[in-house]
Amino acid sequence: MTYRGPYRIRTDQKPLPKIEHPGDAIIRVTRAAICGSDLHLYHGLVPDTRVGSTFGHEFTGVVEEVGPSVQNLKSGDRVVVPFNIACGSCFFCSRHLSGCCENTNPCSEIASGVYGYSHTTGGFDGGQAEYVRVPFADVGPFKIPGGMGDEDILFLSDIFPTGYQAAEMGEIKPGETVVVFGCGPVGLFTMKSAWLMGAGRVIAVDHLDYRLEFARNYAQVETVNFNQVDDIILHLKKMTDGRGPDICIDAVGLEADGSYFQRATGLSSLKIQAGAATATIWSIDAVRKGGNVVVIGVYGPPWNLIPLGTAMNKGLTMRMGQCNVRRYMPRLLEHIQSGRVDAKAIITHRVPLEEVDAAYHLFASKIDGCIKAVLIPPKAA
Amino acid sequence: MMATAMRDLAVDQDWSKRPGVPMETEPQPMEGVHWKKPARQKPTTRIFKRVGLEELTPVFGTAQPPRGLSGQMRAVAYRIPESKAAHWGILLASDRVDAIEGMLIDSFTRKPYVGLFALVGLVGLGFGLSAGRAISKTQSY
Repeated sequence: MTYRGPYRIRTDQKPLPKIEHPGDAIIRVTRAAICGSDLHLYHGLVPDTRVGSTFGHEFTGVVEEVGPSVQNLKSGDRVVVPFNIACGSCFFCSRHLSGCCENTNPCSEIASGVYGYSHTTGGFDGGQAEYVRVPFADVGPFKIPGGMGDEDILFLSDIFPTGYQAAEMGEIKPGETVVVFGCGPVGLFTMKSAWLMGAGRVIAVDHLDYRLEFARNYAQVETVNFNQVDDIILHLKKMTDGRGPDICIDAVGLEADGSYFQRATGLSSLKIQAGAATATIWSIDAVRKGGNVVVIGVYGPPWNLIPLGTAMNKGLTMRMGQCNVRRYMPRLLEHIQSGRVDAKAIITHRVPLEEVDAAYHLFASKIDGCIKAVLIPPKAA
Repeated sequence: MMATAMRDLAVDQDWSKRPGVPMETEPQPMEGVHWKKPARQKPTTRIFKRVGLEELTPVFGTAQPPRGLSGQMRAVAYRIPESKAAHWGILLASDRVDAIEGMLIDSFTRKPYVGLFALVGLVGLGFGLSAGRAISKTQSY
């Protein structure tokens, strides 16, 4: 898969990736998912996204080759790879904040290296390909247990840990009410995780009926279509004794619908802010005083218009961050193995890698009931 | 399964079960680390680094080295600190220029006749504009 400019991608033949550092591995990809955040790249919203880039930060594969210093992986191992590229030993990694690794991205301080996510996250090609270079292979890749299929744990690479971390950052206490904005894949896993953490009530907000229905069936949540209520903030307060939910989570990010002003200023050619922060604004406005707001949806630099004064005066706690994927993988694997969470049940479309253009169109246009599209390279079919 | 049954699944209600609590741990290398300082990757192509970073990070991506006018623009952007909006604005602008460069390269490599027509069209347009300007200048004297 290669990017050719906003809304234009295609498959191309590129040179095979090489070992460029003694700790690298080369992985033959077996499954690669398209993430909601890939759409921000696809739509040309992430700075320093170069023509020719290969996206993809959610993938599984088989180790083909390892660098001379790699000790924990060997050729033939099946692995799922966290989207963060982390050294495991820097100031941040040693505190288990692998999403903040300072040794993998020379281009920007705002994030660690990430596979296939522009040069703003280090300029690494991603996994929507047949082969991919995986740096620090002794630290990131997680071996797939025998008997488990690639799709069973593909989403340990990003969206399940991201959703789980979102719920965790909400500091959910037993019986509390959690509102999740966005019924995309991350939102769905956030809802599941909120139940795992003892939430008393989970409410999902979106404007796409098919996604709200999926959320009701998959995560057993109450749902609200914000297009079908007069005022989403007042509606949520009415649902929660007039005070507002205890925790609000933005699982949408910078391409949110719901506000013409936000879209005009953030997504049109005006671009006076970095995308539409509607879900964050609604989170701040809806949550109860003293409540927690979590931002797990992706936003880019340099800034967004959000009601900081409201957040300050209501005494809110705001938490946010890229997920530190690796630390969550063992526990979330237990949830999958025990059957508490059927992660692969959110896959609605399996598409050959050669048809990546159609898969992006499907996912971006939210047609054909698409929740999650997974690409299958020719050698893995 | 009804919501009440989901509540029964509250197996991570105890915060000690949550892998990210506390968010920041006492410093210790992550599992798999067997080095004190990571080896350094050798650059084989032009890699930009942000203002304030003295040397390249031990590992970096080498995909899509900078090229053409967009590459020159990116070089300018990487001389401006990330805290300035100009850094990001120039990068976004360079992405658009890169896309146009990519289309031009494509038109010559994938469909040479389209490229040829585009080139002839561009030269013709340029000629026409300059001729028009010359005529209007002549008329204004």
